[in-house]
Amino acid sequence: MKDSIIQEIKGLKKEIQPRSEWLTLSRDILLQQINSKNQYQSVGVGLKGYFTVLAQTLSQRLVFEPAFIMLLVLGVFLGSSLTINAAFYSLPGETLYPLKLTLEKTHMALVTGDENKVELKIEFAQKRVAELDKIIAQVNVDPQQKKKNIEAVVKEFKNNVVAVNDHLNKIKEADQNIATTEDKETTLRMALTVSSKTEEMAKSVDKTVEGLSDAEKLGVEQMVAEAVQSAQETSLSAQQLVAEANQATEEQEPNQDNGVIDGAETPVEPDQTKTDSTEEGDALEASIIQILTPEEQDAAEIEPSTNSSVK
Amino acid sequence: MPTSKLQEKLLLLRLKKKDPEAFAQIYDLYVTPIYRFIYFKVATRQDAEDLTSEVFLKIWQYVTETDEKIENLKALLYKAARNLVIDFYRQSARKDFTQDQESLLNVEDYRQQSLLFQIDTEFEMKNIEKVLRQMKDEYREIVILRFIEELSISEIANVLDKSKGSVRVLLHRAIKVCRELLNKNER
Repeated sequence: MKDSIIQEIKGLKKEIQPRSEWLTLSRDILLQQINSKNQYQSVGVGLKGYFTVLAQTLSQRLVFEPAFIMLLVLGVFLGSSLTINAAFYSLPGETLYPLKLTLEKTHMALVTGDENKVELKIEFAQKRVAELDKIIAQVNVDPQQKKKNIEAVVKEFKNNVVAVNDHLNKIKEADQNIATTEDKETTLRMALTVSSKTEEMAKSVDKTVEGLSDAEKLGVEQMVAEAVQSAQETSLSAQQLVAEANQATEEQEPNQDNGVIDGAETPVEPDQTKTDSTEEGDALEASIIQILTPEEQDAAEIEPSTNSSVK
Repeated sequence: MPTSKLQEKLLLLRLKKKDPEAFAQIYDLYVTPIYRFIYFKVATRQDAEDLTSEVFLKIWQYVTETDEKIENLKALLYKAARNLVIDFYRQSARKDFTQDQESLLNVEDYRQQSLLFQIDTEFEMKNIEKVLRQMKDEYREIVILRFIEELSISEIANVLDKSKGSVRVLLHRAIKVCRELLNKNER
């Protein structure tokens, strides 16, 4: 009974409708009235307005609805992962590039141990080289902007390489207090990788910059030269570390054949050129055979071939 | 026509900035429900039309001039409609009082006059509408707001300035009265 009454009342909704001619007439009259009263200036709602409305809506119970919360969480998650993904592929001069660098710094802060940090820095430096390749390959870009981007990326590359060098020095100091052969071997392997990779990168940067036109080269040449030099210095530092490690092993096992070349032991001058590093590479090859324990005789066949990439 | 709260708030914001376009949109959205609400409170369609137009004009003036924060546009419109209907009855009562003796003999007050008019058109009315018109104004408006305009209990509480609890009680009584009147009419 109650329902039927309600249904009947609801039925009135369709029955009672204003006359359509009155609707339009009244609309026109009202609009005329308000227009004559107010000299309207077109004002957009604006971002602030939308924000106010959103804040008001959020302040209401909408906030407590689980579905809304889920959507919000999903939105934030999806949005941030998309941004991070986009940042990952960004190049200098793009909006998301600073985010990429910040993310790298965060990654760095999360990693413990000097060896791991060095590896990560090397990885970042490799990324910079890849970015440099991409920037140089870009066409239809304002030359001024391109130059700026190259400068930015080369500077970042240099920073990375210098940081690697600093870490290597730290490791070198710390290593003097370490007695176990195992630890030394880890350091040695790391130093070998660093040495080969920094050399590779220095060459790659040199080669890439060759591809620039003379006008473009003019501004960045000095900077690139400095960066390449830093990379080479780092490479040499790494080789030095290898040599020192060798020496230590030799002292521990005096019975083994002394295959270390004297050149590897002497500290390398920072302004040495690539030809010097080739000599260092030879020393390195010899030293690798030197540090291997008898159990690793088989591996000895592989190590020198890895080292050949240094050259 | 269902309007989202967000849409309503945006319209309100634009209305505050004196945007006639927003006013036109608000008019299109709410003119029919407001007209219907007033229709059940007055005797003639003519009065309902006049009062509906006035509601929108009042809303424009209020929103563009006030500094107060407006929470709910829909509730504000119904409130304005309610107040205008009350004013309308007050004014007509005063008018009747000042009118000459002769007409006063014929028509005691506007309500009565309306009632006479109502009798003329009563044949066209559905039974349920007659019942609604026989009800106390307090009951009638709550039934209209709940079942015809489909407002929530809290929206009705906002319009009538009552607590949600008293709205529920009032609604329950109103339906009871409605049923009684319907039974009486059918007999």
